[in-house]
Amino acid sequence: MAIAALAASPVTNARVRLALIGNPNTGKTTLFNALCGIRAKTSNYPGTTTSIRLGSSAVGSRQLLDVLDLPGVYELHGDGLESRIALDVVSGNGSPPADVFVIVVDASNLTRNLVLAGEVLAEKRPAVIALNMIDVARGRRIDIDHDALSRALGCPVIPIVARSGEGVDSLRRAIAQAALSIAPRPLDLPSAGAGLEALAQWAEGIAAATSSTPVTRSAEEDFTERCDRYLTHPVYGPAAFVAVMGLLFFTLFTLAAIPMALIESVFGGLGSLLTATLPAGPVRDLITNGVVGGLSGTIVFLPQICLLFFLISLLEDTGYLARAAFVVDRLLSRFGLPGQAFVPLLTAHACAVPGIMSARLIPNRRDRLATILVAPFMSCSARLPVYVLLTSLLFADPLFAALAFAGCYALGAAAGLITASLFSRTTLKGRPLPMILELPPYRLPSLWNAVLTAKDQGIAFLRSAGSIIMAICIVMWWLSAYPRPAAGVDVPPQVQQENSYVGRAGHVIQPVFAPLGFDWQLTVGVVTSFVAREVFVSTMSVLEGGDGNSDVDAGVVARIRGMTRANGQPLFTPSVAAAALIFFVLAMQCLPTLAVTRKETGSWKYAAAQLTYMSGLAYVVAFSARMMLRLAGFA
Amino acid sequence: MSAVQDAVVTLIAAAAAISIVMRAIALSVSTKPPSACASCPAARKPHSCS
Repeated sequence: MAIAALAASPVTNARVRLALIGNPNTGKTTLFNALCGIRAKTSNYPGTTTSIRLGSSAVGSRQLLDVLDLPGVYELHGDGLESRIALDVVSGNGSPPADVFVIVVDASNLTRNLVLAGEVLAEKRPAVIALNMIDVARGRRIDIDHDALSRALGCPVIPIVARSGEGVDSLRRAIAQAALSIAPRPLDLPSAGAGLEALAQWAEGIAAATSSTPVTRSAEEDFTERCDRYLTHPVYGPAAFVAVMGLLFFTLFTLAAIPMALIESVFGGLGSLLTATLPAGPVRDLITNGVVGGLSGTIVFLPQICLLFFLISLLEDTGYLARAAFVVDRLLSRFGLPGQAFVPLLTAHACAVPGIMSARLIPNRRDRLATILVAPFMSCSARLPVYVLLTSLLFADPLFAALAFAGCYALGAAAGLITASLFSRTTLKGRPLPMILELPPYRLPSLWNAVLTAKDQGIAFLRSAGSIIMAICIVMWWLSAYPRPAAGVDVPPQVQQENSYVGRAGHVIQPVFAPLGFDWQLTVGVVTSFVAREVFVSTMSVLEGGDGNSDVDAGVVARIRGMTRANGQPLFTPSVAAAALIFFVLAMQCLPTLAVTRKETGSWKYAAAQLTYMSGLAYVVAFSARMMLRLAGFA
Repeated sequence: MSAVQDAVVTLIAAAAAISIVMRAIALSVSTKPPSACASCPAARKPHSCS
């Protein structure tokens, strides 16, 4: 039945459930976006989809298709969680199976992709083969007879280029027709239970009969192999990884300086304007010192966050990140972590919450627990503003600041690895399972994709700044401004703040942090950041605004650098700034992460252990670093 | 006038404090972790991630 007839038919009120299934990195998510007009995250990195996405697609003026984007799998009956999810959808375990399966096949790698296609077709579900990246196959002079392939598989085969939309309309029509048909079984498909080897032989036979492969290698393959000779080399690979990461952080510091200065001047101007126009009093103080002062201390770091995710997205798209995973895998296995831990640990660099959740992909409980327990050591984006502030306080030179910044990431990763190694020798004894990873060809990155990723992260950061951080800024301001001195009594601002509620609380807790060189203000900053790390910068900004010496036009870093102790000595001496920086790298200061650890491990015991060993380690290492710096002659 | 302003800012700060506490309570009792949609691989039923 043609699609127009299908749309007009009264029985078509029922929506067609369509599932996209295929090997990792075959363009399922790109096709999902092309079908549904949704922008899900895509990249040149296998395993981008770690969940089921649901979208809907319009056919004509009516919505007919509910589209499920399944995680990429190499086989339907594998051990991994992705395979179990895909198998549940194919076999209808727990819910009715999809009405139609679109098996996304990489046209440039037909044999391997047909193994999964054979497994899905063996389930006798209506299916359509989307022969994706046909342009890449053409570029490699691979000629596929898709009619012959269709006859061999017993289902429609539609050549497409999901990235450009070529062939997607034909695919829609084929889907609509397949929904109304019963899937015929391919004539020579190995019987159920014949095993993966038989399927692989079958796939090889089909590919050989329906496609021609060039005798010579393509220029793209040659280029990829030449690059990989160095980028995955046991010595050059890690060196290249360190160089790429160093360049990334240096670019981050130098390029972000311009928009940061602009944001600072805007907030400075706004603060001056409000001070000049509003009548003096508590309301003006709340707005200028609490809201504007606090938020400017956080929002000023927006350019760095956007730029970091922009650059990481470019790296993903080129295909380099998969090589980085390959290089890092060797390292992980030596420390008792499985190769599959790379994705959770990488995700934890954005936020530990999704990082810990994506550890569900790790089939072995011991490996999963080890990954969950060390994931929060990875430097998440909430630490970013704190790192920028404290490294800038430590080093005026952007190069040294960038090196210190990269060092924070390295310290967090090293702490995670060493802790994992300790776990694997004590409470979580055992050997991690090996990882199989596909290295995709190098491709030109999509600038648009990178811009959208940066925008998404920026909006998430601004949302956080506009809600919880603003609330904490207001509370912190109030606690630092009250109780007010009696009318007519002239008290210096610094004395008034020390006598405030937050000042009193800071003085009570301060002895705990005295060995690290923290005064009551820094103690308050550290304690409040246990709610969320990024609160530290805004808290310090609010506390700085209360000493009566603040200059609203001065940069946030310059203003915080000028903070003093009760005795008038600078607060952020090199040893104190270094101790604070190390404490923030290693300490567990995130309530949502503790909540998700409890949920994923099923016990508060692991969350409590995480809080204890991370914060304990942070304290000991920060103290040791401060002592060493003082012995070396630093203040 | 100052007393009125004191009362206003104190009310605002109290509201902000309540919102922080409510968020913390919601977090501790929630069955779904915060910001969970980005990747939840074990979701057995189709769901929409925003």
